[in-house]
Amino acid sequence: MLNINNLKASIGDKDILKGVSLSINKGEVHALMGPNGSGKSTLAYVLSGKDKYEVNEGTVDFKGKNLLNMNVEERANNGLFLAFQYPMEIPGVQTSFFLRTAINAKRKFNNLPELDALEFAKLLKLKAQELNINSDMLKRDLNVDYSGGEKKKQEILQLSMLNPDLAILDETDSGLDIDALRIVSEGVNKARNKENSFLVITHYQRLLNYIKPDFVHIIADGKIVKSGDYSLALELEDQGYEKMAKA
Amino acid sequence: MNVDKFIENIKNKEINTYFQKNLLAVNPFKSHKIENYKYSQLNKIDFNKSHNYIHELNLNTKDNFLDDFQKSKVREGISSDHISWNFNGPDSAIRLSGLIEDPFNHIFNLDNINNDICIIDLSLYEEINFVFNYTKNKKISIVIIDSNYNIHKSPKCFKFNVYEKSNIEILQMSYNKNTSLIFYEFNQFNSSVVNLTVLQANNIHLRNEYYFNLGSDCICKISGANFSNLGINDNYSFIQHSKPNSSSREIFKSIVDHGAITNFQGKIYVNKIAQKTDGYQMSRSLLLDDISKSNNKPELEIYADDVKCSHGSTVSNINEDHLYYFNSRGISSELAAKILKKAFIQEVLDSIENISLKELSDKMINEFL
Repeated sequence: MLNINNLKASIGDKDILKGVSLSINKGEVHALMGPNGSGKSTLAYVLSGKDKYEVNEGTVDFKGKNLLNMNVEERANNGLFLAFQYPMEIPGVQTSFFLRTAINAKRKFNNLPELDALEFAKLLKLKAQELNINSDMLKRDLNVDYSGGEKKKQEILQLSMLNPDLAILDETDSGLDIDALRIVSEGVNKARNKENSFLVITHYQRLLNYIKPDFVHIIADGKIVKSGDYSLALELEDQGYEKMAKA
Repeated sequence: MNVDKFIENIKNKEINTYFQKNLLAVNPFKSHKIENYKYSQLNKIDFNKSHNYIHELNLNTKDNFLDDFQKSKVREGISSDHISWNFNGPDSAIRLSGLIEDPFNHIFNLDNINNDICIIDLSLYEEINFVFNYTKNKKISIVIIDSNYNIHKSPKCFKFNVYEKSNIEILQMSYNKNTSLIFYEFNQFNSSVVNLTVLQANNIHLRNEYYFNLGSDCICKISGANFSNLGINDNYSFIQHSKPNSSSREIFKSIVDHGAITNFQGKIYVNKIAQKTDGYQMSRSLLLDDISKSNNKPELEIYADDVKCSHGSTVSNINEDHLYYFNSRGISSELAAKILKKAFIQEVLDSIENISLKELSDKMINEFL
């Protein structure tokens, strides 16, 4: 699915990623953990194609294509999805309208007919119920005056509607209360299947209690320093980043 | 000059050749004589004597601005194709064309109209002055259509006498390579409500002036949006709170590109006795390239000591992060920009109350944005 090889990236003069290599196969869930400033979110942004970041070295292969040659919307339409840590507030754009535009953009890209209003409403109702999102929220402007939990739920709603091949969750657990965390995690678990993959970025092992990863990677100072299975996350919780990063 | 070629020139960013040489001469921000910019002439005006102010200014502009306006080269060869929107409003809509009484001054008594909506198509009138009187409590909606089809290029003056407890909603639509000049004067008597929405798109040279005189317990809302303009778009507003307890809300939004220029100057004036005034004024511009201009000048002049007044002004491009968010969901930059432009003026569209008027404005947006 995704093959990152020796990826180096910087913002301005500052090197952030210093040679990340990571391979994610179909159907796998990988967790990426690391302290603040280690490059977790940068990796997510670089993969999604945000132009603030400059890729200096390395290759990224996504479903057999060179990801780095694509622009942001091509990456999205090819099946990459980034659930943002801080979803943007966009006044004047209704949430449901945004979702419909996004879905139809993807369908158009895949040469499928666009969803009409009725088909879309059905799908939206179904997916929104799964995430315990009421229809009032979807009528409001995108993320405007949403609580932290509502914003994250809305991101996961987008995920489940767009049904990407690879979803990157950038600290989706931050700012969530316990109930919201459970609902969001359930939403992610429902979206999981044998054909798609997840990269879950988080500080805390707690999220991984809900979304069980197949692999756990620890990133420190722009490099992946340790990889293992779920037990690595437990070990990390026990010992802290500093010790693990040095080891 | 062929207008299509002219517009082509604008699109080719050769804006400097025409506007900045010829039309900037009438840019209000360049000349103090026709605009009380930089120094206020308000101290010379007795506001208790209704609005002789408007006539003064009218004469002023006749000498300067209007000559240019009428001689404007761009008028030659403008196609007068009238974009027709099928107005599927309720049957109660009426065109006011049948009510002509006096060749110079039209006095309309809106009380005599039983319809919910009146449509005034300026192309039907040669006259200059319109006076509207309304005393009923029931809300009436008025649509003013000002398009290039308007062959009578004289300036228009609208005077609305909105009597006690009456309620008027007005939608002005100016579009289609238009050049026009409109003055509004609103006399709002106690407890009256006026909701004015102005949509301006695809025009060559437009200037609108709004003068409000508010009694006590009035509500005054002005919302304006202009976009896809080809030349100069100019709005000037003056809201006078004469008596206590009134509120005014004013929002102007401009989307400027291809070398167009928008000006907004608005003042809230609060008389000494107009305590408990609640005034709000905001002008925002979306400046999409670096050859376009947006001039904004919000002003407050307050003589009462117990009021709540605020104003603000912003100029920005489309937010890159917003664009990125759309892109990251597979939506192209082009479509995203269109959605974000619509979103930018959504606040103005939301101020329209009548459903039919909303539909009409949507058609205009789809046509020109």
